[in-house]
Amino acid sequence: MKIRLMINKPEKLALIAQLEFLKMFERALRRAKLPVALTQGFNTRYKISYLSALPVGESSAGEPVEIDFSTDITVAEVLDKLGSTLPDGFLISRACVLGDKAKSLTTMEQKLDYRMELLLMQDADCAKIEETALRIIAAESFVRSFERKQGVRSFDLAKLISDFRVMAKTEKSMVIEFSICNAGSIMLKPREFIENLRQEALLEAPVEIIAVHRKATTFRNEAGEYVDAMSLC
Amino acid sequence: MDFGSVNQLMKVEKPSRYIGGELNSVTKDKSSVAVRFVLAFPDTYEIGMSFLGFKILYHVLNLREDTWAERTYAPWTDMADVMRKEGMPLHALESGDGLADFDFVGFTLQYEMSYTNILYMLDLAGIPARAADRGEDSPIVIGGGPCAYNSEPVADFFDLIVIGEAEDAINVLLDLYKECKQKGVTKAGFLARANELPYVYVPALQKADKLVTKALIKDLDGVAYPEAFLVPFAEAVHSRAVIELFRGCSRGCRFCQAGMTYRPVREKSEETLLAQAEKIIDATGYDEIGVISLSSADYSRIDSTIEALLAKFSSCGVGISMPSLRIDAFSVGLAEKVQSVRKSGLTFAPEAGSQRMRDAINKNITEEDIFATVDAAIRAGWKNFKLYFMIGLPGEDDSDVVAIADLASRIAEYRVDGKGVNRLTVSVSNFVPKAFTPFQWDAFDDAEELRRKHYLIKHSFRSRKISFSYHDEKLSFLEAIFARGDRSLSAVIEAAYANGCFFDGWGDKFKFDKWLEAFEQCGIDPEEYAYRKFDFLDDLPWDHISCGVDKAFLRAEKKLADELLPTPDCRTAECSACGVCTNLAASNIIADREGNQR
Repeated sequence: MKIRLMINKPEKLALIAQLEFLKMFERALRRAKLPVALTQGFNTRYKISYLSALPVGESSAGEPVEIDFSTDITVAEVLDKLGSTLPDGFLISRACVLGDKAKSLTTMEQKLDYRMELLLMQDADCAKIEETALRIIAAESFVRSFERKQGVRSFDLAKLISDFRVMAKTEKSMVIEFSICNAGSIMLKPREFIENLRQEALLEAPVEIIAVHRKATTFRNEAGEYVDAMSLC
Repeated sequence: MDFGSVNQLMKVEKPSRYIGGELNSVTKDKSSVAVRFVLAFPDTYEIGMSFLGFKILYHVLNLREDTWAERTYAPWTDMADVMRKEGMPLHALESGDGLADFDFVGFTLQYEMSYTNILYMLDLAGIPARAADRGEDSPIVIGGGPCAYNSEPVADFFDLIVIGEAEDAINVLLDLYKECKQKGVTKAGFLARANELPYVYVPALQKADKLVTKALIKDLDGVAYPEAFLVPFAEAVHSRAVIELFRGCSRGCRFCQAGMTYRPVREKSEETLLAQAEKIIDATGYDEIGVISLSSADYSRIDSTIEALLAKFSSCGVGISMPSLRIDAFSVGLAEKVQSVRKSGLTFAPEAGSQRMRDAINKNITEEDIFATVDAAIRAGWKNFKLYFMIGLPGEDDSDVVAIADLASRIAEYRVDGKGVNRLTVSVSNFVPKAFTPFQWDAFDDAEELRRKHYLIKHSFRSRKISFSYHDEKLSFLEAIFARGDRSLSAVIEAAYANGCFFDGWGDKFKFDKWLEAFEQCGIDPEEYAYRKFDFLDDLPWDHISCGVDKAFLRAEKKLADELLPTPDCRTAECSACGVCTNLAASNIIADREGNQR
């Protein structure tokens, strides 16, 4: 049987890399002595699937993870045992048994809701940033390219970014929220959006990112609504 | 610790090394403890987190309600830049407090080429390097570990050095410290009292009549061992549970310092080992158990212990690894058990290519043993091998050097039942004479000569299956200087650090020219130190220390080496009269002896 659960990545441990996060989770499962199914072969591994990699520097309220169990087990037992073996700060918020007909999350369009805390240096001011963000979102198309290790990637920010809001601001810092939609496997990174905002707002000085937090990950169902992973079990 | 923003740490490589919060790390209320101790590892987090010694000490110290032990590691250069820019001193991972706030800063002396990192860490912490420059309010800088047996080159940087195994010794020392602190005794007063302990070396107070004798744990079953291992988020060099089969080794390899200084052999019982393995896996969730010691296959109940570990853990995806194997068919059998499907590669250490040199170093293996091992391994399905050798051994000539290439070539081309070797890696290190070995009086081989010998080996191979690697002779040259050095070298270490030398063990950071400049600045000839040959009657810089083994035994062993005569293992043959059992009122403890009577 397969169980889907939502695990957070706490803000104080945002600097853990994805591979380190996966190791941490596997070790917690082993400590919990849960009957997780093993892969075949020499290097046997737990059968676990993760939706997407959470980059270094980002925390998250909940990431969907799916675990194969070799014997039947209740959701309550998983929550109870795993809850007591996860390192401080990590929490399983919800879990559900995955039905045979449940659609794979990887094939669905996602919407990632972010909260970011920014420190503005020298010439920057919050109004400029806000104004620029709203202008990008309102545009019909706003295609920009970003250099990555794998090569240059282009994204239409006007289509991918939505729900931009300034939640708090002081003279030199601001807390913003926005959503990034992604239909393909290559995603726009929130840091790329912020760097683009800085450039578009014609700010000379860097915008320092204090924190990046993924508030929610939702998936577009057949009715075209964004729902959470638990509603798709 | 406050880095201001995620962005600061996003600028450094592997930032999770610096955030703490690892599973099983210990947090206490600092206002409620009498003693604060920070274990300082003079290399990176990934290496330090793999070090069993600090896992043990962290556990032993934190068992005390009156003490909070924390950890710190040498930050990589990018992180050091951030710390300097932010005005942030080197701090402990648990509390985030700067090292200057602690009662003790404890460094392990694992390797001579990490000495400059001690200065680097003290510098980042804002603590003066020399003990004489540290005031009453500075922490007590304490050292221990294998290089403590000749700590003279760094003695001026330490207030106190513990010789030997610290599990019990550190508790006695902390009890004394706490008592002194409560009575308002000064730091100097505490050091004077600590100096009365037999295993404590206070460099500033050392007197000619004190022979500092190593602390020894006589019964390993009865000593505290960590069960809740720290589990790092960042991948360590070895991320695994570790059980320590035994301490000490009586095989008597004449180049090996650990083989002399850790005597006598003290095995743990199989019951203790299995119980510890189970508790560590329960507390950590690791998927590998490392079965370690100086020569794991020598553990008297190794077969049944491995069987029991496999029976217990293989069904839940936990593997077993055995890093140190002997050269014999029995070891191949063990390796086969722990690697039951994929034969990933076998590593052996013949150490020398010729029988003459193997006899000189008391390796006690013949060419027949080597080929019987290779034969068994190929029959069992292994195709890839790694062999470790040493060059520059006392009495070596070119025929012994060429013999390395010859032996390796014949192994590479060896075939049995139509099967043979796919790939053979030959790794050659340069012999460095160490204190407390029968070769402690011998000179380090000339660095030019070593380079010529590397070339000679490289061009004597007769098989394309061999890949060859060797150690940098410049690094070995410096290691040789400090391994048998004296107190005047502390000035050189200081000068080298000032010249920008640290992380010397990391190839791309090693600056040999800056080291030579440092020697010149101090008016010290490095060659005189590396190439000096002591006479038996000479005073040695480490003569005030005792590891329990008699100097007369080491002299006798040196003579036997010159005559190419063996000394048998005292576990299986008669006592070799090394002196350790008499001097330390101890004995070998063998788990399987007399029907499992220990």
